[in-house]
Amino acid sequence: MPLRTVFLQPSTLRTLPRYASFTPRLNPALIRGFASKDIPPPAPSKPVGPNQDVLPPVSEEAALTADIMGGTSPELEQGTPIGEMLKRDPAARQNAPKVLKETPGTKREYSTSATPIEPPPSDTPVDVVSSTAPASPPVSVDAFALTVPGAKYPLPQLPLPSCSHLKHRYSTLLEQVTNFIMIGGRKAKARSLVDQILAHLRTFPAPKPREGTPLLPGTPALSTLPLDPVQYLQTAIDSVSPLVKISMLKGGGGTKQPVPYPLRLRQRRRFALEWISAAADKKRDKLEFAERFADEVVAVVEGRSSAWEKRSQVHKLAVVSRANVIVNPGRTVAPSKIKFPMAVL
Amino acid sequence: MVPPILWRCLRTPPITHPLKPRPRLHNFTTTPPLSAKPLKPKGPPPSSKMKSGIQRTQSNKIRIKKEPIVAQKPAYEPGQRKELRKRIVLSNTNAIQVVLPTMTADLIGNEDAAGAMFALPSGEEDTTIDRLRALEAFQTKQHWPFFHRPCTLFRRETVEVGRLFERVMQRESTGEDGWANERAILHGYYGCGRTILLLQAMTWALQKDWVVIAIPNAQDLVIGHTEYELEGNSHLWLQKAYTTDLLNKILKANQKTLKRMKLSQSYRLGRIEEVQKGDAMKKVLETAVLDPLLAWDAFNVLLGELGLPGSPPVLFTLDNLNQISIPSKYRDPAFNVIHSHDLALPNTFLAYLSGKRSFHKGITLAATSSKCSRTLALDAALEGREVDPYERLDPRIGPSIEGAQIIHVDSLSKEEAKALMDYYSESGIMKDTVDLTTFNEKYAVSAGNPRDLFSTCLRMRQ
Repeated sequence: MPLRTVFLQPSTLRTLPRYASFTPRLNPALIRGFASKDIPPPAPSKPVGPNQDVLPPVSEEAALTADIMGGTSPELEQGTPIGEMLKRDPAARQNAPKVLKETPGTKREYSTSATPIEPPPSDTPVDVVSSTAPASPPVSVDAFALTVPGAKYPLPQLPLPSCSHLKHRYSTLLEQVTNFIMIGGRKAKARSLVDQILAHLRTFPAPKPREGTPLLPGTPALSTLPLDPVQYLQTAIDSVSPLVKISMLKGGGGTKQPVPYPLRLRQRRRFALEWISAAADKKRDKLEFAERFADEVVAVVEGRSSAWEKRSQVHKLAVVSRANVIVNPGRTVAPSKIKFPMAVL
Repeated sequence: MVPPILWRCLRTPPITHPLKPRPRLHNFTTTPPLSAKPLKPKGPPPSSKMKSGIQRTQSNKIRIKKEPIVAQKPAYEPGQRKELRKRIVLSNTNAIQVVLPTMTADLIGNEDAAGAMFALPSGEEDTTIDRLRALEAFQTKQHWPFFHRPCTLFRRETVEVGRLFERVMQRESTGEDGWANERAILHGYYGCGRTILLLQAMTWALQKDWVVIAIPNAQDLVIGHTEYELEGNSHLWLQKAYTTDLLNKILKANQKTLKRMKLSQSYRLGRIEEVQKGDAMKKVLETAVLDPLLAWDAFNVLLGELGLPGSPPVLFTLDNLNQISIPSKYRDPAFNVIHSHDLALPNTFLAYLSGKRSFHKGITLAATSSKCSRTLALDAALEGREVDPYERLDPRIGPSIEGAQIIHVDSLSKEEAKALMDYYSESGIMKDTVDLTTFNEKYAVSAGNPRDLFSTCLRMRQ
């Protein structure tokens, strides 16, 4: 009885031909033709069809004729208006339909012509502003806008300034202050409060400089701050904002260890705002929120706010616990996920 | 039925115990018996030997410690909020001082001055600003607190207001003893500067020693916040408390002129008070200010005297004319709404505005307001258009302003806007330099409206 399980046949055991190449076979249908750089590509042939040998347009024909006969050739680049053609050719005028004979377009009820904008001459005052503004730098006339027909105003200068974006019109600081003040999504109310704060900063007496107040380096003279209330607010907030925050991590043996973490700019400002508004809320004698807040901002710049104490407290604790700083640039793990402070300096 | 034993009991002598000594008591005495022991001081019952603290812990009752109720200090004292709301600050020491010419009376009707900024007259002896303050010519939300000193823009409309002054003064200078009355209404869009024009008119009038009578906000007259009473003869409702206030303002603002005015005849104020012929008008007002019952009579005396030949010229102004063109909030005893024109003070002003009454020499100036509910009848009257008979408009409004010149207060011209913006930037408040691009941008955004121009130039959110 032959073995039933043996299916191997001699043909299946045939080995590969010895010199068979392993390169893939080239299917001529799949090969894409390529043009060598030496040989120029063949000129595209005209499509063969019913419109193959039509006469050139009327104006071109007239131009050719004028070229041969000697005469004024019509304008080729913009095409010939039908009116011009009718004017030139009496036969065409005769055969033209009735509508065309009446030469439309000579009288129009409205004007479509655009007044060309020219730069005002320097010696003769045209506009009030240009004549009365003495030190104003001359507005450069965008030459390109003048070349573009129909452009009334010069093109904007690119890239657009940061304030020209609809959703980021205002300074980031004021946006953050507004959102900080906002309660229950009432943004308009918060904005008006910010406006009131800035108005109070304008009108309060200028802050008096005090020794030992660690204001940011580069702060302008304090007497000039009320004229620029945004700068005023920024000086106060950025000066008291802490550099680090302390978070207590579980250590071994049921203890907690203070670990300082560095803060980003926005986070730092957030801390400063919280301290300032907490100090402002304690002032019950001031009646309005905006007035209280603005008064506290003045206090910060003058160095008598309680926010400074909170800031120094945080910084002292951070210095004391600097040994706990987590330095592990290789790993990106959220601080909340880390169980033990790792890697010590 | 009375039991017979009662009588027997009373008749029988009291049974006395032989062993117990009887207290010796007198009948009908008030002295206490000697045997009574003195009262013990109150304290814990002697039976409880536990300490009070332990006792408290062991008892099952919940004890809530009651805190004494402390009367909370109110956030605002009475009247404090109104004071805060009405507080007017006219200077900001932080702003840079701008040197500007003073707005003097020489500028009345001067067309060349249009489109320039002028400072309101102020000096050590000049009390014009204080008098304007007394008249409540300055209003809140007019951006005075941002600038070093109050300055105003001289506009085309200011020239037109000056024309009114010119016409009255021409009569005065030529010595004609005729009547010279000018009546005008300032009308325009919101924030176009009508109240500021009233302020400028008052400034000139005070400098020229005119008598200035100003109702700073007509809304106060109609919202039902002041006392009112019906006067029988004229069927008008008097507001005596408000009139007293008004007289006070007039007195403060026009001290010098009123001192010079002498009464042409004797008058009776109220029931008893009398003022004699030849008394100074100031004296009349001073007596009236003390007693609200005399106020309305004194006000009438003042107006009557100002209508006589030889009296000083008058400027009578009222702001927010729209407010007295809608029904008032007052009610009569039958609970019907009182028409605003039936209130005595608005009625008097409108009589002058429509020419029913007139000063000897004077200007009656009203300004409309945008912060008011719709006044269709007044709008129709201001436009001077025919009223559709099917429109149910108030028929009393039209005739009340009949014949008054309507001065249309327009948006700023480019020159005026440029002057304002230069002033802002010189004051150090506006940061941008005023060049062609900035100017065009701000002017286009604000459409030349002064209020909007300020907010676009000084927008806090930059």
